[in-house]
Amino acid sequence: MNSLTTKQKILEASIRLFNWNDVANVRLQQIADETGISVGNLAYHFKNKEAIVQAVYENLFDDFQQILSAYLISPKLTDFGIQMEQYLRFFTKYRFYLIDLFEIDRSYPQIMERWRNCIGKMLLQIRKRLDYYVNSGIICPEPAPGIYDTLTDNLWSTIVFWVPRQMLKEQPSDEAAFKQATWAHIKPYLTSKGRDEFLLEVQPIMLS
Amino acid sequence: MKPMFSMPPELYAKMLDNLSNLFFTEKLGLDVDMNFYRNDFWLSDTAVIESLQHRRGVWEINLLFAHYKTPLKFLSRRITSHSCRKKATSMAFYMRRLAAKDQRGTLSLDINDLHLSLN
Amino acid sequence: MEAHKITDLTGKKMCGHIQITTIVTYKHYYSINLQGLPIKPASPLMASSVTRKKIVDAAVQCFNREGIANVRLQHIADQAFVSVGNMTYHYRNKDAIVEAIWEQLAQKQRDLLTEFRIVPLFEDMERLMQHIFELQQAYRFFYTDTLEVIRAYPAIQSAHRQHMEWQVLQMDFAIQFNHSRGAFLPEKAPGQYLQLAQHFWLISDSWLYRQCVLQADTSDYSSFRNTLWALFQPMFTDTGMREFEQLVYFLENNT
Repeated sequence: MNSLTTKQKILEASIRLFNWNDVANVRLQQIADETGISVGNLAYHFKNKEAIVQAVYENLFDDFQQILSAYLISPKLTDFGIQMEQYLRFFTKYRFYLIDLFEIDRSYPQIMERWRNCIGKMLLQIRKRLDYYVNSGIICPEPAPGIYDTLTDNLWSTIVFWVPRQMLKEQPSDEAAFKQATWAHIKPYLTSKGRDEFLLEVQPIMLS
Repeated sequence: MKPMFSMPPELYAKMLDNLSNLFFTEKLGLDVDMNFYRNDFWLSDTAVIESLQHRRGVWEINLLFAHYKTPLKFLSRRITSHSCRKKATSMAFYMRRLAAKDQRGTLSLDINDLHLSLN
Repeated sequence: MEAHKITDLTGKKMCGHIQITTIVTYKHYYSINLQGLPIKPASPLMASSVTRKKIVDAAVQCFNREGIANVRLQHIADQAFVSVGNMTYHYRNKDAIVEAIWEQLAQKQRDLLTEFRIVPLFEDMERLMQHIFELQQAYRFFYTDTLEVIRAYPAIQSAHRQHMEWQVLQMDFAIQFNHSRGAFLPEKAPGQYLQLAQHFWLISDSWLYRQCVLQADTSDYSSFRNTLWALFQPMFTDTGMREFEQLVYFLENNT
């Protein structure tokens, strides 16, 4: 992977190590070994561990913004599946973050602030996406006021906490199972038009 | 950390609403919608002359296009207007040269092509 | 035993009071009767289990306050009004205390679910949700730092995994029971009930974490139960719908 700069390689290695141990337990020597460079070389790119941690979080939030910008690219149901796949990849890559969230909050409060902002946007996007599907006739209108708000919350919880829960169960994060779980939230609310579209377009991708 | 761009959530919600509505208001266009472009192709096979008209205090540049095979098919289009006559003359000169298919004057018009009835 | 109820200072500040409370504790053990002979407690195990319970409760409070990583044995000892040596006699180290806490929590959850399994009507489900909520509030450090705890104390890991699987199966059984009595619609695809059970536990376990992250009220029971009931709502038959409405009406008028 010569196309990645040394800096990027360092960050990738750090993320791998953070996922393996806690953020606090990782030492600069380990990061250097994992990247395959010397500690001096590492120090040239990043002054100290603090700088590496900050850079990793920059990457994390950039990636998240990328996923947020993929809102409703196509008007079809598959668009939701695509965005959820991206979320799964994100939470798998940065799984150390959820684990250490409260520790991180104590040391770097501005990170929690950014995270809250991102989560707010994620929730809004899911809610508006549901509204869009209601307008285009794929989902039935709200059976009772407030149901789609709780559906949004449940969908969000499933997407965010799937990977940590799989970690607890010591099972590898299975993409097909994740898709099953998230679509199971929406399936009860599909109209007949929605179900046709689901069978035609989403189901084949889920099974592959 | 670099300062983050932040948007109040109500505004973000409205933006998402608009993005969703795009799919209802803006649909992919049909091929027939581009006919206005294809309809003008014959203009590239025309002889062009300019005509200046003084209207409402400005000098309007009109280009007259006549198809070289069937000169009765002709079209007059107002291009632009200038307040100064000299400027308009100069612009019209260059516009005609740009628009004309035959820049060196090798194309000629046959009077029989006009099919005029003298009755 | 009233001496230590004077103040409600934090563990650190109570350092100064250790001498007094130790004496009180010993007095309890070595109190004398009218003949001047020491009164032994009715059974030696009873006093020991009382101390154990005190230590575990104190540990839970410390963990909830400070987070599991920052608490030292000294803090727990101060909170429990025992000496560190006494505590070490009952629990070798912090690992043992955490394991004991987990065992206590798991036992409580098992009791809840076994009771629930007998007849899982909607009122029982509502009560189950209440109890789960109370447990979460009491052992909140576990729910906000679940992964950290599991990773730091690997002895709990496999036990916790089995416990989670068992919980899912219990809930699956409850849903099937509700289907057979006509309150839930039948499964549209095989495995849907299991999926629903998985969702129930995922959402209930992650609810506290979510409230912390969103800076929402972590003691808001109504939001907790609404989120969980919303999972079951698409499954209601007409009977189920009516029963749920009755439940809501009953709760509104009795709370």
